[in-house]
Amino acid sequence: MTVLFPLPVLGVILAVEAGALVWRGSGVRVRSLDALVVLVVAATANLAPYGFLSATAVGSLMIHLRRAFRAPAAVDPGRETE
Amino acid sequence: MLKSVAADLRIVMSRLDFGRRELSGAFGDIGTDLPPVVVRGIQVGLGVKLGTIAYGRYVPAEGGPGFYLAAACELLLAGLLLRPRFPAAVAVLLLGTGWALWHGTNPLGGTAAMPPAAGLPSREALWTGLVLLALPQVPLSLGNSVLATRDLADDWFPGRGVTLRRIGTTYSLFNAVVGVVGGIPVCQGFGGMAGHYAMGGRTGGRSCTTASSIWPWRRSRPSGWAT
Repeated sequence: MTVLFPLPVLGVILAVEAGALVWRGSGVRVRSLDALVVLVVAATANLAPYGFLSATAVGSLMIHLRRAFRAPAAVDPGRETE
Repeated sequence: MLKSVAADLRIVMSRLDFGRRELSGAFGDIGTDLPPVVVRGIQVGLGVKLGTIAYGRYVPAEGGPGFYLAAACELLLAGLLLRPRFPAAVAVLLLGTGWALWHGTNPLGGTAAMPPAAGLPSREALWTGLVLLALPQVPLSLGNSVLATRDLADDWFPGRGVTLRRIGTTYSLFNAVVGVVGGIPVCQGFGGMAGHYAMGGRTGGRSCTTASSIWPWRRSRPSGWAT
């Protein structure tokens, strides 16, 4: 006898996996800007063409831009006088 | 003569080992370059995508009765996830099996394992797969299937020696083999690991249970299936 497994059951199991992904991904102990990066990457992955490739590029660009703009402020003024 | 062959073999083996170390070492380099926040964003994006598929396509696939079945599964999961000693996934799979046996053949949907069909893909198929499948998959594979999996394994199974290199090497080798026996690409991704863990699968025996539970659901190839 040929029997097929019901798709709604697989859907529920897939939803558990989806929930685990969102729970872990959004549980970032981070600053607000990091949360913004997570949101932008997630949205790009779902909306843009070549979703995950574009999302990785956009997210990496945001992080590198932040590092670039924060670099001068990270210098300890006390050390400059030594 | 034998000595020269052995020397040649040693040279070839050392070069192969060098190539293997270079290729697998690339995972470590990428792992340090890709910001962790981006990996988290990829996870959330993948979760949203999978959730859309689950509730947008799978759950409504069988109409009204399918919604009742899904609701029963969710209630079962909610009840059993509070009792981690009993694997909730087994109960859900048994419920699905009972439903399928009760309804017999289901023309509206379902899933089944296909028998292996060994053969090398054509050059066109390789090119199409590279452009349309492999390229978009690279960041998802690196982020979700390698980097996030290593992080989760470190958290939940500390001291097991799960490294980027080991995950990347086994992942790549397995998919190279799967491709020539007609299988579909698979990964040892974070979502599956977290899902199995949440549903009670905490040991290596979980893979054997999964494989043996899929086997009875095989069926013949549907008409029009590309061979």
